[in-house]
Amino acid sequence: MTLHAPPAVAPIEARAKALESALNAKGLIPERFVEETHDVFDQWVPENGAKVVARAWVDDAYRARLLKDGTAACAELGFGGAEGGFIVALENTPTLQNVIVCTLCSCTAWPVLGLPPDWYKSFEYRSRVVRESRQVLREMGLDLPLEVKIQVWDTTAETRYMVLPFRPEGTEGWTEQQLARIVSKDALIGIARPSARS
Amino acid sequence: MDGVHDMGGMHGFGPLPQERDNRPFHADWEASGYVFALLASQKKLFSFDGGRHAIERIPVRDYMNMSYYERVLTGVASMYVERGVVTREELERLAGGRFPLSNPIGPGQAALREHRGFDVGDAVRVRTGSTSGHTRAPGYVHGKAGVIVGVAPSAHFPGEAAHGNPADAFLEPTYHVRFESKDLWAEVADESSVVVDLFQSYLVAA
Repeated sequence: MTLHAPPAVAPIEARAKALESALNAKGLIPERFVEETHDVFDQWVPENGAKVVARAWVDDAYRARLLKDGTAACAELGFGGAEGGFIVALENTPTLQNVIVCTLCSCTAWPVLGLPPDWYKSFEYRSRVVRESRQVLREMGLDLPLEVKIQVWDTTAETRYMVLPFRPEGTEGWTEQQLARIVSKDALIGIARPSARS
Repeated sequence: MDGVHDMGGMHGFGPLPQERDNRPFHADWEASGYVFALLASQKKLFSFDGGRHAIERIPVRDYMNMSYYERVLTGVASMYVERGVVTREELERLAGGRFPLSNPIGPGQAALREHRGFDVGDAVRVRTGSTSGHTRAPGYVHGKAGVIVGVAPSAHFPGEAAHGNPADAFLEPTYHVRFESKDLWAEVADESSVVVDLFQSYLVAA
């Protein structure tokens, strides 16, 4: 009797390369498509969302437009595209914290938040934040008092959310550029609050 | 489908990672799944719905053990094989080893074409009865009642978009439905809530 061990799974790098080679052999990949797509990924950074937030903090009319039609308001600053076809901004207050998740996969507003980070896609975050939001935020370093209500938004269809944090104390007179620097990816997802010291 | 991907509220995963690195990629190959999903979308071979469902169809043990980007690549490669663009044999020859793919696709779910629609403020309930096909109604809200707090533009119904030609899938609005956490889970002690973006066909008047 001869026993044959099942063939080993190819390393992931080799599998990724194999798919690319197979599609290339069919002439399916336009010239520079891969490079140009990488360039677009590089343009999707949380600094985009931070600019939107900073503008909303200094310009009440813009803030109103952002809350009414997030897609159009982000487009005013040049942000939109794939996974940003319908953007909704969620306004935080001192007594309301909005938090974004995608329990089923990893959906995120790519053009304004950037591609999602590993923790956002982790089984721990996806399974727990809809059930024990306060404890999850505490474990991530945001310990909110009970008077702050937490509202979690599960990204289960085509809406893509961004959190509009409230402007922290101690930032009076700051320029838009200074303000944008304290708005992190974590704050745009809702697991952190900007601070004048950050 | 009632897969392990539908993990909202599932117990047993433990504490959140303490190290938080917000860079999206950590190796050159990682972007491949996204790149070729965008290519498929552009070439109208399959949509993100199809890709998402293919990821859901990854055998459970593989799903749990693969990294995020490995799951994306596996799902996207499975779609290219299922749409007849490439073959598994071709991929395995080029990769020089086994190339795990998703389980075969089953029947989809048709949208309810006759629907009265809803407005902000309406009380609604999520239909019970799960489907083996692609759905974007997470299990933790099945049968639960909530209130509509927002309406989103029409989108292709996932149970059709992931199973056939995405362009033929029924277009219907989705609703942002707010559920009080106390109505979802027994142990909730605060005033938290969860808003889920639900296709019209998943909802009935409460």
